[in-house]
Amino acid sequence: MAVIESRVAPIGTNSLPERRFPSFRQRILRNRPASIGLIVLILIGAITALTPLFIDADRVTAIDLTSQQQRPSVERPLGTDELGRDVLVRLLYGGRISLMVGVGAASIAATIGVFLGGVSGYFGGRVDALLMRLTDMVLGLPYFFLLILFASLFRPSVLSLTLMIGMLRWTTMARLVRGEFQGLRDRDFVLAARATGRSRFSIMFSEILPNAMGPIIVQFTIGIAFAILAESSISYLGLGIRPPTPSWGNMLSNAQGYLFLAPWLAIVPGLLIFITVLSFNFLGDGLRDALDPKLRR
Amino acid sequence: MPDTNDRKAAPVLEVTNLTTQFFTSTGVVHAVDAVSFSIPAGRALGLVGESGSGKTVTALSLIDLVPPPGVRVAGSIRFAGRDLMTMTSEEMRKVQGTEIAIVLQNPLTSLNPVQRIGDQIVEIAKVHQGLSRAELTELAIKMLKMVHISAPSLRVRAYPHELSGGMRQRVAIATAVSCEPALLIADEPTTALDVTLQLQIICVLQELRASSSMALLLITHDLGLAAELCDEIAVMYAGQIVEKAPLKEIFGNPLHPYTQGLIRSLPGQGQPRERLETIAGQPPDLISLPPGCRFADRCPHAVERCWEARPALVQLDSGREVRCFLHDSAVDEPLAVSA
Amino acid sequence: MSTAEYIARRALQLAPLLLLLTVIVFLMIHLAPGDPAQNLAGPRATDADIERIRDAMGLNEPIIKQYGIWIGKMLTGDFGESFISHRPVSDMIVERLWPTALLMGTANIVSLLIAIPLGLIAAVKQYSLSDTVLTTITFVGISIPSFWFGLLLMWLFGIQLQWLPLSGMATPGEPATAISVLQHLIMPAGVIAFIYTAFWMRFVRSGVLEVLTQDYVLFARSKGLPAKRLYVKHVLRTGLMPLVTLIGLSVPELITGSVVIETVFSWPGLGLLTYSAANSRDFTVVMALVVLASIAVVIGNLLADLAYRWVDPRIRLT
Repeated sequence: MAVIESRVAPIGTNSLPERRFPSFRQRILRNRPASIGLIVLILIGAITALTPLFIDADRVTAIDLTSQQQRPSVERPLGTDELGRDVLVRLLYGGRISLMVGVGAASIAATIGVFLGGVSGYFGGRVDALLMRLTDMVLGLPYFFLLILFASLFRPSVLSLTLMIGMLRWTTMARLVRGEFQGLRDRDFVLAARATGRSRFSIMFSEILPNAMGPIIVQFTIGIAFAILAESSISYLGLGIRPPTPSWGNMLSNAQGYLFLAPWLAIVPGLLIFITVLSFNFLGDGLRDALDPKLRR
Repeated sequence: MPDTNDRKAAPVLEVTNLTTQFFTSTGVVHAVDAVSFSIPAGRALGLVGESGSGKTVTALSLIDLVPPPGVRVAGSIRFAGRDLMTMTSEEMRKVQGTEIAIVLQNPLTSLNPVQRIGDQIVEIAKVHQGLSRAELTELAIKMLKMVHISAPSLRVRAYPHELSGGMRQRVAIATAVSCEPALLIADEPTTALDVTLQLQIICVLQELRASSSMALLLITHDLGLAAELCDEIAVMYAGQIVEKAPLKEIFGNPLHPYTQGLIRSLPGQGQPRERLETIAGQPPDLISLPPGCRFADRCPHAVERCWEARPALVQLDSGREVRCFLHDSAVDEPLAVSA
Repeated sequence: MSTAEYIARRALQLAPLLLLLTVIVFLMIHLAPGDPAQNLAGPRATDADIERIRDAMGLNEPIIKQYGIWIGKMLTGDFGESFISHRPVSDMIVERLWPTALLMGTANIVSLLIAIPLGLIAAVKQYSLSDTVLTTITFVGISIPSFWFGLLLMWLFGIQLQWLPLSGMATPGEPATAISVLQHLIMPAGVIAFIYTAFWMRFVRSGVLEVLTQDYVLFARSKGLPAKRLYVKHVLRTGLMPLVTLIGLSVPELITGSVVIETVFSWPGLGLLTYSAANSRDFTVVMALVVLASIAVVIGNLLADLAYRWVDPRIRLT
């Protein structure tokens, strides 16, 4: 979603001059949704990260049956849920969990994807063919169903859930990185490095990888968005993060039963998921535009 | 070909001061600057210039196909008694394809890859003339025969990717002339093809001109190609016409230094094994144009005045036009011929 | 090669995938904490039940043989029995096919009908207000948690405005007429359609943008074609080709249903079955559904492939 810019006229017009290239920082700051997204994410990230300093962890599970489903008040800014727990506190702690799972899963997916994609793209040949078959197979798995099966069998912890989500989502990154590495491996600086006899892995990760970081970061950002949605969906189904540990997703499944009486219990956590995911998507899109060398927009 | 001295042939196209600009975020690009020319019926004008000279934009401007952010800001385009610039898009639509048609540069990309070529050829007729299925098929085969494509009744059902580049370009020409337009614009029709195929296309175009009263506007950077097909040449540089004259006079006595440079750089002019001549330098930036003559920086004959004032397009007694102070008799001061 | 040959070749390529999947599912069940028989029996089984299951499952046999037996049974359509209801799983699945098909089918069709024209507009009027609005909607659509959106709609239209029924495919006690089904259908289908439209519209927009700058579109314009013909025959015909693949890839969900949305609205389809089976640890059902899902993915991939080849004459099959 770039800011309104005149499109460079396409075919048939040879008379256009070279466009001046604004700096990366300028381009990303010009993209308003991306900038807003970035600010929102920093805010949310900072607040959830610092939460334990200000709010005791016990308050997350502090059941108070005398004050169930209270409307928002000064003392409890977002009211209480069906067990009398402070919604705001649960929201903040839940945010930590949801964000950790999201970022964690995306990191795992990115790591696997970069590694497999890099090896595949750099070495080519049979290694590539084999890894691509593997990727196709993983792509062919009914991802969400496996997640459900896994979750219902193993009652996952935060860690294992993160791992599972990450392990099923690396294919896009792998494909992307493979393409990048394929494009870069015949460049001069790579040939120069090989001439100095460095090990292939060293070349891959210290020479080629930095040059491919742009698209990788974009994909990573978008990956976080999807991971957060995945975790919240599965938690909503009761198969992810289990109560009493809060997660934005499972707070919503509790809330469904109380939609008549206490709609805010459903509205607020979901709103936060939405805003966070939206911000990551805007940010990722903005990064992608800012990094686009073609500048056709 | 009709007698080149016959000035009584009425112009089928008369362009006056056509100006097209592109409004980009980095500035206004003066792609076409007060360009004027006319083409008599049945004749061919070659619009010659290097990349970026504005010739393609001129062609697109004639038929209102200038892509955004381009706008035709001034001028008139008289065609068949009407001014195309003042027409609505609906009226223009009726003219496009049937009265003025264009052939684009790259035959590998100018045909729709998922449509059979027979359908593509007769599409204009289908939309504008409402012929029946049978008539359309007949037309398609007839057009394919006209451009010498073998097995036309089979080929009508072929897809573009089944044909070679040369064949595709001929299909494009067949499409353009299917409704017998009064004017055909050919934008670099041979540039994307190799030499042997170029001859094919030249032949097809020559035959077309011989057998009809269709006028031709040939856009090219290749003076040699223009020589094969055109009666008159207009040389464009940096958005302006810098010289206009009948073919023989352009080659026999080029007046503008740019034209002279172009002719000198044609292969075959000098001795064998001599290096090809080029014109040193680059065209000016069309957003921030120099205050003087746009060719001054690259001109071997430039004098001080050339950087200070802009030469106008002047009509000489012979009817030729040149935009150069060297040939502008209105200039008082004596000019040194060499800089 | 002919279409039949191609299908056969692709099916052969995709077979190992199915195999891998069944292995994964099988291993998961057996690696899960606790006794597999107990897992399968569920929390309400008695000791006698568990022993019976052990025998029936041949749990005392070597693992490979067990796997073989399981596959064998599935190939004959025997997916076992639900341990909650003791009904054959295949029956349970079949009776839920129609509600899911209705829901997903409606959502898909509505999405297509909206996404294509809107995507076209967004592309043609790139950077205009319409494009910005549509792109914003796209972002909302791909970022919004579907269950939250569903809950919001439920609250707004079901509780506050009381225009639409809250859940299920029919209201108990009332006759299930076409109109009442439609009323129940609106919200769940609407949520799914909104999200699909967002994804697809993006694709249409980028596909069309790619095409708009192509030479053949300029050539087509120069023929003086009316706008409708230009856009349909030239722009969309080529610009929608990538979308065809995407639609093929949405076939799996067409078959297995949206677990999340069916759960939110208690829509009695395969998705809801997945949810309840997973939560009540009715593993025979879950396993069967996972296998069904994999088959659906294979079919979806195949269809996407075939569709793309059919649409692009350059790579067409005979």
